[in-house]
Amino acid sequence: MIRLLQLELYKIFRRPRTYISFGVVTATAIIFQLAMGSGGKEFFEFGMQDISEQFNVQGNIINGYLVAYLILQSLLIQIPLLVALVAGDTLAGEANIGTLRLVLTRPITRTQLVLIKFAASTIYTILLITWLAVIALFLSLAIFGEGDMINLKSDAFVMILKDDVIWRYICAFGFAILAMTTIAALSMFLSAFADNGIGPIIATMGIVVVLTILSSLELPMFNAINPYLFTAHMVGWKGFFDADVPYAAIRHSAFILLLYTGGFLGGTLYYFNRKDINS
Amino acid sequence: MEPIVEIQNITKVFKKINAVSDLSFSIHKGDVYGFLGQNGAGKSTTMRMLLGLIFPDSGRIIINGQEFNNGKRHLLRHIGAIIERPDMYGYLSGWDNLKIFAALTDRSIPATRLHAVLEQVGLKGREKDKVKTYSYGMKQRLGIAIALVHEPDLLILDEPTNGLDPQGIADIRELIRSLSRDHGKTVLVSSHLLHEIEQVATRMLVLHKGKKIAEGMLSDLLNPNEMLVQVGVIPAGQVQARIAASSWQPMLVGASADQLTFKLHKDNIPELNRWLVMNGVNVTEIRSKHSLEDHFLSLTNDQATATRAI
Repeated sequence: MIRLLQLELYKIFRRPRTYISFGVVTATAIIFQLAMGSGGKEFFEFGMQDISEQFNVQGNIINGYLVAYLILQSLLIQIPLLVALVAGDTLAGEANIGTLRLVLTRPITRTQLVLIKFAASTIYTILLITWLAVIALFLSLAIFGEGDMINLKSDAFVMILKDDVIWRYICAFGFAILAMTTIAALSMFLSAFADNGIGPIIATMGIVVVLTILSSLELPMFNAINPYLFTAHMVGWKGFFDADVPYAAIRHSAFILLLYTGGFLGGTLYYFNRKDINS
Repeated sequence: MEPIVEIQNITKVFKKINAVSDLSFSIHKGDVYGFLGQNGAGKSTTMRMLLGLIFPDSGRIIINGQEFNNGKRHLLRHIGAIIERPDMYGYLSGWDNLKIFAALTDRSIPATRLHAVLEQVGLKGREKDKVKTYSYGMKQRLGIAIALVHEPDLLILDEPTNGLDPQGIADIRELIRSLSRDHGKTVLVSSHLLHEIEQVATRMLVLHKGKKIAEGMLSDLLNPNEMLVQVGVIPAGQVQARIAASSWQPMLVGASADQLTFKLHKDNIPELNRWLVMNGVNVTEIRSKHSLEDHFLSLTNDQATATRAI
């Protein structure tokens, strides 16, 4: 299995398309950092205008921690797309170029193949989020320096002392990996039904966008289903930047995401083990 | 002799269309088994079922004495295959492709074996080039190398000469002969180019609209008792009336301005010639044909006629 996983990763990382994701993350982060470097102070004053009369904030406010947080907020929709770009292509992309036919004439089980591809997609997701951490957090820290982090929320702002921030980021990135693994599992599930990679990628994004809208709508008719939508739990990482971290809520969100991941993976195995390969 | 593969009464229906109907056959060790049929006859579907790519609706597939199903995919270690087009990872080199597919087995295959199989298919020296730079013929050769690399007992080649130039076709033909003759491989090869099968197969099966319409040794299927005899005559028009009134009429299967075609026993050819001359017909040539293609076409046409009659 390890040898097969190595080969699967080799295939993924020899494709130019794979590096688009890393390029997009890098470009977005750098653009954001440039923007914050030139107009960050005005941006912050605009965000603080409602409470500036009650509070006098001083020091290195536009620091690496704040910039990294803003970058993560802005990439909420893009990162799932970048994960789907690879995970959605795992089965359908191979069906499209015809190699799935050849792969499945070899003496490996379909279950093995799905598990290897899922493991490879998860490793890709981990590397992408790690790269995001390097570019968004560590590069921002290198450019803007350290400082206490101000987390601007719609109804409050939270001040986190600089010595209390880094562990929160580590946990947030860990949670993001879990959330994005759910996206990878969803993409792979859709990939099992398709014979070209574009369909599952678009379908994944469609599902994420529609469910995210549903999750954010405060309408009574959706309130009943909101707690069960995985998109409502994908933003659980933000909890690590509250003054009192809501561990119970984060654990619950992580459980829901794990449940969805297992469900999508199980669905993929069930369907793919019965699918006629006509491509 | 124990068969390597036994297909027992398999049926596959796609959206109410019978792709394969109640098909049974066996492939024995050492056979070069020709799988003949027009496009859409069910050849590829049958091969896909044999490889576990498609699941039959009913029937059994037995590989080396064990029933094959999705839970027994390890039996595929005995089979190497290339189905339809030789599709590979174009952004990787030939060597990388070979290495990846070689790893998709349950045992480790040394690099020396990879080199040997590249040598065998004539790709040595080009293995470091990306596959997207390969010609179709080279891809086909690499596909065969992939099918051979784990040293299977049975090689399945679906339309291996499709899209190749004449030299490529001759090379593949020679490779199939060599695999059987020099390496003791059993080969299942399909084609709609019947003369290709005729030149390499020892046994064959004719498939038409998902049904087996003939199977056996090539020599048996050729049926030496019946031949298509083309007689060049001047003129053909007048003699047709005389033939219509004679005992030759049931054997006349075709007529044009200067040619008559009979289906008859080869011993009757001198008698027919004599009768034509005695009836004042100028015979310019007599040619007897008995290629597999004629036989195949007659089988499929008869089957189509029978189907229409039903």
